[in-house]
Amino acid sequence: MITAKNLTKRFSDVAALHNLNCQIPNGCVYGLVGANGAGKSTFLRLATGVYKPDEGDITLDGTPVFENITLKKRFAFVSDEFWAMPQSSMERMASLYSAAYDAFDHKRFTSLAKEFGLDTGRAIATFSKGMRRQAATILALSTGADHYFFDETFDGLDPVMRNLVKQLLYAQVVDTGATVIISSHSLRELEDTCDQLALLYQGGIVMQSDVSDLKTSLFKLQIAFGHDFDKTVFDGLELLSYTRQGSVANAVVRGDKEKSRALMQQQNPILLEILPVTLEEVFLFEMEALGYAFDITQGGN
Amino acid sequence: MKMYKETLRKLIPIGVPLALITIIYTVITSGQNYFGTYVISASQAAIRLAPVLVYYTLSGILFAYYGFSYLFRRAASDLYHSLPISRFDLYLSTTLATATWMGGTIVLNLLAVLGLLLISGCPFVPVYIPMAMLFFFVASMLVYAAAAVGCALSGTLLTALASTGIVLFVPRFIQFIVARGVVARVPIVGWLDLPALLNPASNIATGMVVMQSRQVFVSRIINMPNTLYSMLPMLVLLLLGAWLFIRRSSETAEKGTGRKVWIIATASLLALAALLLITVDNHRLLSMYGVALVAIAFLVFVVYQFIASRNIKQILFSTPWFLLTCAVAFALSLGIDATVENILGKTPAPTEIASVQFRGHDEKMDNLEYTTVLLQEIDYTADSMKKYVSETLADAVDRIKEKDFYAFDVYSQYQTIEPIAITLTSGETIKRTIEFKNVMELNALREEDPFFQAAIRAFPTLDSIQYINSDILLTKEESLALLTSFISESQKNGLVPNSYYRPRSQYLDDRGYALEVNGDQTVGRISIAGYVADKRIYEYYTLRMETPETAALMMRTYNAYIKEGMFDRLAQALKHMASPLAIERESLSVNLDFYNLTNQRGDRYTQSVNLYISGYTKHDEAYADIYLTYLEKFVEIIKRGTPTDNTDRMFVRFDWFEYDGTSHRHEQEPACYLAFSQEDELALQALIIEWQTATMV
Repeated sequence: MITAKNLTKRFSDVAALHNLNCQIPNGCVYGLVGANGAGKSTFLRLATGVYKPDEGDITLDGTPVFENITLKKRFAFVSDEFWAMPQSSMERMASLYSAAYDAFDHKRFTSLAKEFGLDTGRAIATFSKGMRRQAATILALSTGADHYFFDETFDGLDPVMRNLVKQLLYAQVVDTGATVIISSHSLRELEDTCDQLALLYQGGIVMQSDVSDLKTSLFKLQIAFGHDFDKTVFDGLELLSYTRQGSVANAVVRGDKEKSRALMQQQNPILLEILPVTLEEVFLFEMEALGYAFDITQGGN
Repeated sequence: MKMYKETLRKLIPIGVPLALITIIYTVITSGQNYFGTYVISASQAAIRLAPVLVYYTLSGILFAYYGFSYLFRRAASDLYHSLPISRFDLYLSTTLATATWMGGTIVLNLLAVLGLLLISGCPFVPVYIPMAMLFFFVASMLVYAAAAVGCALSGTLLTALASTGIVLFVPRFIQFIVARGVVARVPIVGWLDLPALLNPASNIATGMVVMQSRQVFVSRIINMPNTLYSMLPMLVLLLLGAWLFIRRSSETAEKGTGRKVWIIATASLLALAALLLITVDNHRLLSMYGVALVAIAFLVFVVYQFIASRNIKQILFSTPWFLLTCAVAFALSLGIDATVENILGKTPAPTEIASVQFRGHDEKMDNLEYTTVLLQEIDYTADSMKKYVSETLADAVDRIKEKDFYAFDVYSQYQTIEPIAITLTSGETIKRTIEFKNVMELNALREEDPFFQAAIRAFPTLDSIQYINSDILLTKEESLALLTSFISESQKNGLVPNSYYRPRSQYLDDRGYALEVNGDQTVGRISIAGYVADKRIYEYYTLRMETPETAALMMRTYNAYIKEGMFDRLAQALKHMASPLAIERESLSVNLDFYNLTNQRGDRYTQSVNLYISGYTKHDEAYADIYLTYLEKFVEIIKRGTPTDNTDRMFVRFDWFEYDGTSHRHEQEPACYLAFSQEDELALQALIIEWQTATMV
């Protein structure tokens, strides 16, 4: 398990991360969402031992990761900008990776490259942005690591390749119990990929939760009565928001759907519908409940 | 190991082209030297074996910048630092890979040189090959280490370059300037008299720069003490680089130097370097020149910081550092003053001197005389010598204090300038270069020492001699035979072969002309060069009548080359020159050296008669008349001479040379030695006097 405790990182006088705390369990796909500058990339670089924390610490199974080579052999990091040696091909970069990773699997590297349709002998400098990301992903997945860190990796991939990458990640998680940590500034990008999501805002995680829990624990309740009514009709439910337009009221409720439906049915509504909420809405409502007010689709602010 | 191999591969784009270029260059230039028209005839200075390696050392910067190029790109830096390799291993793999490439290239270059030397048979000092390998390797790694420190301190290529330059040169520049300040103000202290830390030769970085303009350092750069000494800063910089590299944040990439302290420190060092220029040529800080220099230094201080940080506030707050720098410069300037005073104050009394060493009148030359190599080992402890040296040094110091300069008297034939080392009874050793007014007096004192007497009469062993030359006409075997004879005869008679240490006398004839008389009569020369241990040596022996067997051998050797019909050809040449057919650019030169002429004091002396006539000189009818007349008169008698090797009687060394400037055709007869009948001897002596009188008019 990756644990961040009071993690702080400053660049000059600006704190990119400030007292961040989180736990990332093994064997999950963990999403980090936040606006540009929220601290996602900094977190990933701290988690992979690229940066050294100014304060606090980040550990894997209780051991700090910075300059810990044993732990770093279990990490593979795909940066938001893939760098390759001048004039190098994927084969050349594979040579660098295999010098660093004892468990680098060259067969897997070759087979993945084939699957993606990339020529491993071609100069990476001639690759498109998307191809470079694919190349970086292939190299990372060939390292034999069990923790993969992807910084904005899906940006620049076409839908077909995005699905292919996702499938590969799922397979890695299912087959090897690997942990995948993905950052993105777009919640929609991560919605159908991650088991767990964390929202970074101004250098701190303001919320993290299991995605399925988030989606099932919150729902939208639309209700109308033949008579005048007010908010008290929802007594007994945990309301996160309430709005009324004419005779129809909309509420976002946290709790058990069936129990809530049964409770509302007792008041004989002329309309009662339970609607799912999008992950964006879940985050929005949860954030409002926590006292943050920002546009979730933009990741904050 | 894997990462080392990977980095080795990574450095191929730098390593292979540089290796190829240097080796090709070395093979071509060495080939020219060893197989060309003018081949190397004696061993070269070690640094001359592969001169391109002097410049190759700078490639340490290229290797460092290419090896650590990922430090200048954020994405690259992040990638490398995310890999499961410690920062130390990253540093170590680049350092070892660089060492492999540079070491390999240096070894290959010098092995190529060694191969060419062996194939060509050109002389060399064997120990110079491994010495040069080690030296160039240390020099290259020193440059690499400085560049590695620059990279570890910087996030961009430009700031890395600036940092490298500062790390590599600023401390040494300051050291050099301080040394220059001392040398400029104390004429009796030369560069080689300075202690090791101030001597540019002992510092590879400055040594190789300084040697470009000061020949004295060329043969002194590569030696084991220098190499070992330079290993120290190399190791310190390598360790400093490792330490900085380990502590370097990945986020420094693309961000310049990042550290405020380093920016201010760099600006201060640059300002200090500018301020120290004050010491050059004896300027003082408290002068108009000094004020101008302070202004320039401040400008350097501000401009560098502005480029590096673009933070005006930081520059303003750093002003106290500039004041501190000025204070340091002033302190150093005072330090130089104090050093100068200290040097001038060191005039030990004879009782304070434990011993004196003479480092050789030719210490500053590229090669040392063999005699010097031996004499450098002698410690003179006689009271008379201590007194003489003490007085001479005190006199030199008085002259400097009195006039603020020290004029060496270069016009006196007995005066000599010699570098000395005085060991005091306190154990301290002071080195000075002072003028001794009378070398005869000095040598007389030195001769009191039996080791000196033995040294000035010693010869190098024949197997240490790589080059012998007496005359282009003679073969190496003939020259060697002459040398062997000269050594044997000199040793048998206890002669001093080195002219510098021979008793000097000036014999003037009745008319006031300087003459070589009796045993001093010069009959030829042999020069030798070779090496003793790791020191290249040479000697220039003058063959005199004091070694008659050698003189006789030389006469026989030359006479063996006499061609039949020589005098007929000379008569024909003379006839041609006398005729109107001789054109302006034709000339005839006849050289006659008469030995064992006897003067009124009964001394035997040598008299040269050089007769030259050309188409040009014939325009002067009076001149032409005299020279043609005497040419005919001399030749008339000379042609009756017979080859001789008898050194007891009068004889003549005779050679002539005919040249046609239009066709560049020249005819030269080998020299020969001729003896004459008593009647002809008298006739020749009379003719010489007649000729002297005629030419005097």
